[in-house]
Amino acid sequence: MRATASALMVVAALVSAACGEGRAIFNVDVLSFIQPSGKDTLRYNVPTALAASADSFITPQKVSLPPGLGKSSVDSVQVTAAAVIDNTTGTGSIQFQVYFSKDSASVYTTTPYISSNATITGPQPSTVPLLPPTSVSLSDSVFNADQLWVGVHARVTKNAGAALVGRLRLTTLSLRIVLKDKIF
Amino acid sequence: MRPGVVALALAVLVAAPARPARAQFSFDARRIGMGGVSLNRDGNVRRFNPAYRAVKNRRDVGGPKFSIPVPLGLIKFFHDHPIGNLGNDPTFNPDSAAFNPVALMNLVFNPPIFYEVKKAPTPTNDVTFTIGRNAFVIDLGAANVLIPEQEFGLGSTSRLLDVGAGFAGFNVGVMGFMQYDVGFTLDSLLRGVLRDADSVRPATTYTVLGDGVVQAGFAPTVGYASRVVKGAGAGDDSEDGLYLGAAVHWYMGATYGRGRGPAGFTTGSPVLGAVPTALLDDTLYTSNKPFGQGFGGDVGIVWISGPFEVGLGVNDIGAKLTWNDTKVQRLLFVAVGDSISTTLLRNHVQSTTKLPVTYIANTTLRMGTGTTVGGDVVNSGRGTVIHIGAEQRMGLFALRGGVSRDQRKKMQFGWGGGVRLGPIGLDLGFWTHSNSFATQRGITMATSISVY
Repeated sequence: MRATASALMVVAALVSAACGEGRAIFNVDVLSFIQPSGKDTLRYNVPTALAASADSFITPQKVSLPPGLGKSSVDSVQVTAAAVIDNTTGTGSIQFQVYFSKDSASVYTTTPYISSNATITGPQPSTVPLLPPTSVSLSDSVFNADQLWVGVHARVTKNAGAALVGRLRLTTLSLRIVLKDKIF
Repeated sequence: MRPGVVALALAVLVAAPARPARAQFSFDARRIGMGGVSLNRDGNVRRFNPAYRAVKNRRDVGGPKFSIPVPLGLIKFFHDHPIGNLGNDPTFNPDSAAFNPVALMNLVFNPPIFYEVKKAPTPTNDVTFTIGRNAFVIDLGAANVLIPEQEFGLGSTSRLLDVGAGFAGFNVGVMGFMQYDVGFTLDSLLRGVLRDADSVRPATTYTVLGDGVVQAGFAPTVGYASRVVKGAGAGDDSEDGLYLGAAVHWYMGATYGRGRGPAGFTTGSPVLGAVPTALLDDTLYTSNKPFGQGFGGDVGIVWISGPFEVGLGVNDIGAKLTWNDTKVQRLLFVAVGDSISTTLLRNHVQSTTKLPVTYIANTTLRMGTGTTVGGDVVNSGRGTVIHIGAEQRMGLFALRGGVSRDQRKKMQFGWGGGVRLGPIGLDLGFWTHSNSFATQRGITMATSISVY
């Protein structure tokens, strides 16, 4: 990754606006880094008949970014996310949170970058879209790095009654990082 | 690192006369004002055409003895970049936030000898990188026109020295020569990535093919030039007639080196999920001993009829040097340790090099009433350059204009004027150029003093 990106970006930088007043824009498809390991899906199963809550986390996943980012100051960042709840039985609510960190150990100790809630009601099975704010503008040193760790957390709260069983599936997770200064 | 970069940049600026010679093609504002053409029998025509040894110089018909450039560009350069502060100058300091590699490259390709009236703007559009686990796309936007579709590089053949003496048309002397040619070619996949915003593909090799040679030496030379046909009705002092010239060189190469091969990388699979493999597998030829030898020659012809003159000169015909003691090495990148290994493939073997054939075709027409027009076609080893220009003299003053097609096949324009006061002339010439990493032309203003 480093060599590929470095080689190409050096050539690109020599002919591009990265060295002038133009901006370097990085559109990162974070989901593509998560999908192959199946970590884009969180399954939940709260079997008790009573009201209860449960948490689900994915193992933090690494996202490789071009090495030039480590030397840059980030002008702005936008995170875009979307998810779907495929619920099999039961009713309740789900809180969906996305975390970013520079290292894997601290992913879930930080404040989530985006968060959204959805209610599961009515006849089951059902599919519920989970749409946090389309994008969140950020200006954070977390993205001033050549690698990034991402975590997804789902807090499932079950109503009394049938077991709450289903899965939360990420459908979009992307970053748009804008650099206005040099990247080398 | 900083002093090294400064030293390298300054060395390139100082030691790059061949590049400005081609880029600015002359330090004479008169030539620059005429798009690069010379209406006198100096410079290129005498260097390329041995028949001109038999033709009088044209100083007596209006040409100066010599010209002294007035380097206004250097004054501005050292005003903007104080020599005592070059070590901290952002232009030469990669650690500075204001360091701009494009600006530094533009400085190398376009040395600030003359004043830059209009700088070619550095492209400033946004560049977008799209990154996924198995995708890496670079969209350079409008700047993608700067990615070369064909081979790009530098090259020239120079005669650094040409001394000798002669009689009765014969000339015996020694010529010093230096030839270099460095070219790079992006393979189609890499060009697609950079120019067409194709995605980098998994398990795919991307390369830049490099090919460079440099050789230098000297050549004892025997030449002959004479007017073989005198113009009809021409008097004894007339230049009219047909002139032929030829020279035979015994090339004695002092040293040479040549490197050729690809450099690049092979992506992993997936593209961003695996470490790519760097690639360097080049073959390097170097001479162990001097005196690579060979023979070659120049021929030339000039025809003069009253105000009309036309000539053709071709150099280094059949110039092939044989080096009897050459070392051949392989340079290979070794992933373990990130090192480059050097393997001796063959030693004390014979190899050959060639000097490229270079030529000039020129014509001049003095139309009376102070008007002179001319043109030339020059190939000094890497591409053909065409110059067409004219001068109109009006008493003390002269107006000049011209066009040229440069080595990148782009049209360039020159215009200017001058004033002559007795033995001294002051000339001003403007010239458009495309020597920068930019899509638009820059304009240089040249100034020089001519001594008649």
